[in-house]
Amino acid sequence: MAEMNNPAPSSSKQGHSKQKPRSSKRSTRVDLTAMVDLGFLLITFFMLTASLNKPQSMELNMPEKDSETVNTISVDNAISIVLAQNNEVYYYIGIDNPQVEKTNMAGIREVILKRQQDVQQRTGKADLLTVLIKAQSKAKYQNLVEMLDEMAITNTKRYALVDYNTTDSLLITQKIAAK
Amino acid sequence: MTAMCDVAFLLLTFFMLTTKFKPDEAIKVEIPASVAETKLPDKDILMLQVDKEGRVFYGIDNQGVRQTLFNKIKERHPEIAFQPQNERAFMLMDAFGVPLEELPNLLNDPKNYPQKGLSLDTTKNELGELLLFGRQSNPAVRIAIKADGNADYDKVKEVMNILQKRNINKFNLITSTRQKPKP
Repeated sequence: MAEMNNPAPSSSKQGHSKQKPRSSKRSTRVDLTAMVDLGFLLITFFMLTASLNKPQSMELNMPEKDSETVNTISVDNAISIVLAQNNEVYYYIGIDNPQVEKTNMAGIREVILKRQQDVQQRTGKADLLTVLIKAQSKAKYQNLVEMLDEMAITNTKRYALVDYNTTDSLLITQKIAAK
Repeated sequence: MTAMCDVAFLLLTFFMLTTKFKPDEAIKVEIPASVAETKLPDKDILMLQVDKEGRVFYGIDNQGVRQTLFNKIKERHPEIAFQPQNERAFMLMDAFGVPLEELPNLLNDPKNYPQKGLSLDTTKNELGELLLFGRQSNPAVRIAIKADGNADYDKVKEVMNILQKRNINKFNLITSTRQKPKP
C-alpha cells in the first residue's frame, strides 16, 4: 500500500529537471496510508462495540393476580419441577403420593422431553404438557432463567411459575430423608 | 486509494453516529444467559436491577422523564427534605437503590453514599409507588428486570409480586445470549 502512493521523490526530480525552483511541480497527493489505517482501526472498534453490547431479553407474561378465572389443568398432563439450592432439581408427576425424583439442571431437559412424549402418546398432542415451575426461595435466579430457557428449547408452550408451598416442601424433605 | 479512504471515513462516521456508549452502571450485575432472541428496545425502559446480594435498584431512562419522576416524588412526599440541587443530581443518576427517605443523602453525595437497596417493605410499598410514578412520567415505558444470576430467587419473586400487584403482568427479563442447543 505504501508504494501505491509515494510519488514524492520522482516529482521532486521532475521539478529539478525543469529548472523552476519556485513553481516546482510537486504532486498534490498526500500520503494517506496512515490516515486510512487509523480510519479502519476506528471502524473496527465501533463495529465491534456497536453490535456486542445489545442485551437480549426474555418476555414473561404472568397471569393476573386477582382475576376470577382460575386456570385448571389436568394432572395427567402436568409435571411439577422444583428448583432447589445448589442447582438441584426435583420433579414429580401427579398429586397423590407422587414419586419424587432428583436430577440437576443438565438432566431436566430429558425429563421434560420424555414427559412430552408420554403426553403425546396418550392425547396425541405434545403441547398439552403443562410444566409447573416451583422455585425455592434459596434457588438462584440463574436456575429460573435456565428453566424458562428449557421451556423455549423443548418447545413447551404451557408453563407456569407457581409458589413453592408446604406440600412440595414436605415431599422434598421426604425424598431427602429417604436417601 | 482516495475512494477507499472515502468509504472508510463514511463508514467511520456512520458507526460513530449510531453507536451509543454503555452508560456507567451503578452496580455490577452479571446477567444469566438464555436463548431468548427478543431485543430489548433502546428507550422507554424502566429497569429494576437485583444484584448478587439481593439489593434492588430502580432506574428509568431519559433525563426528562427522571425530572418528572423527581417532581412527583417531591410532591407526594413533602416530608422528605430535598435540597434544590438534588433535582439535577437525580436527573443524572442512572439508577438508585435507597429507601425514599434516604434519597436526599444519596443525591448530596451520589458517588460515596452506600446504597442498601430499595425498601421492599409491603406496608410502605415504595417500589409499587415508584412504579406508578414511573409509568405516569412516561406512559410508554416497558418494565425490565435485570437480575444477577447468583441472586436468590425470593428477592426476584418479591419484585415480581410487587409488579403483579400493580397489575404489571408483562415484563422483560434481561439476559445475555446463548446458542440454542440442537434438539
